[in-house]
Order: sequence, then structure tokens, then C-alpha cells
Amino acid sequence: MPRNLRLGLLFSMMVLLVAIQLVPSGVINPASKGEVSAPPEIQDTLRRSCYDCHSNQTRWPWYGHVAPFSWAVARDIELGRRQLNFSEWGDYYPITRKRKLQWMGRALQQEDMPPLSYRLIHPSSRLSPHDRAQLERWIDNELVSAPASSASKAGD
Amino acid sequence: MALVRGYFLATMAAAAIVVACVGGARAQDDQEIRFENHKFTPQTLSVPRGQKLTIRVVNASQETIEFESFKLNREKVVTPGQTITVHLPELSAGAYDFYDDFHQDVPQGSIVAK
Repeated sequence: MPRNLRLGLLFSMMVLLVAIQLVPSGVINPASKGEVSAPPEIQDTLRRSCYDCHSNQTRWPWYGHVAPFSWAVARDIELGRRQLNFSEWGDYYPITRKRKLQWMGRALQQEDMPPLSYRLIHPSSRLSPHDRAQLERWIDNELVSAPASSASKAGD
Repeated sequence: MALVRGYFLATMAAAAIVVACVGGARAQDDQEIRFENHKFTPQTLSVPRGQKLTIRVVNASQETIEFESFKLNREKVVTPGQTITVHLPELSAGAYDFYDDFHQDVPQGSIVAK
């Protein structure tokens, strides 16, 4: 490939990389609608391992501000929040809360969460057997105290 | 030679009948759940127990949903206009709830295996 063509391609790519930085990811940290209430040790674990994708208190990593990585991060966070959002826990119907707890329990058992890709970038998010046991106990307790089924919101 | 040709044609005809029957049976096994106007239709889907199933979930609405069932261990995002296929193993008799995980006000549905 001629040198001029190579330089031209490189320059075009750099211009493109700079230009896409102007396209925002569109995801922000909205206000909490009722944070999950849990013992301090559970809160710590949730914040360390889950909150970045499953709350409105995402700690944005540096690459979360650099397109195109920011788009992928934003997409993951948006999906994560829709599936489970600890900052909207108080807004969930009891039946919804029960379902979320059940899925959390299953994800813990199957060691699906946090996802491997996230654990690799954020080693501190890994759950120790002790963390898992604590979370499982908390989930079990919450499930026992949760109403069997209801379509109303908490406090309604 | 005519005998061989006769056997060949008979075998082909038998194979065609088997394929048609299996295809027909499979088509009968296919069930459809439609999401429209913020609800699933039908709300209760009766299916035969002890039989593998294929369920098509059609999102005919303008909102993205997540078809989810804890009992069936299924969760899948369905974008507007999209149809997904959910393969289920042989179900024991009973009710298996499903719901839209993205909209908690959507009434949950139930797959009832009889």
C-alpha cells in the first residue's frame, strides 16, 4: 500500500475517532426512587459487585467516557438497570421484588453474576464464597418475609 | 430394474408421508403468545404435558419487553416487531407463570401444562 494512502487512512480514522466522541452515550445517573434496604455488609457487597450496572449510582470507568466503548457500556448499563435496579427497589411491586430476588439467587448459584467480562476489568467485584453465602442468606430472608403475591407497590 | 424402481418410489413416498406427519405435528406443537396493548394474549396458554414445545413470542407493540419466566428459566428481550422462539422441554403438569420483566404493570400470563 502506498505510504500516502496509509497516512490518509490513518488520518481519516483519527478524525472519525475524534468525531464519534461528540456522540453521547445518553446514559446518566438518575435520582434514586427508593434504594434497597439491606444490612451494611450486604450493601457493601451490592455496591462493590452489582451497583455499576444495577443501580442509578454507576461509577463510570474511564473507558465509559470514550466512544465507541462508551456506547457498549451504556447499552449494558441500560439493560442491567431495566432487569434489576437497586435504586428503584422501593418502586417495585412486592411480586416484582420477589421475582428479582429469585433471579438473584439463581444467578448466585450458577455464578453468572457479576459477568466474567466485568470481573476481568473490575477484579474487586468478584464475590468470595463468604460474600455469596451472605447474599444467599439475605435473599432467603427477604423471600421468606416477602408477600406471596401482590400487584400493589410497597406501602400502597 | 422395474422392481428396484418400485421399491425406490415406495420408499420415497413413505419418507414423504413421514416428513409431512412430523412437520404437521411440529406445526401443531408451535404455540404463539402475542404482546400487544400492554398485555399478553392469550393470558393462559394450555399445552400438553410431557411434550417438547416451541413457543413464538410476538411483540406487536411499540415497546421493548423482556419475556421472562422464573419457573421455566427463560428470559429474553423482545424488541418492537420482533418475534422470538422459546424452546421448552417436556413440562410436568402445572402452571408456569410468565411476565414482562420490563413493565411490572403488565398482567402476568401462565402456561398451563395438562
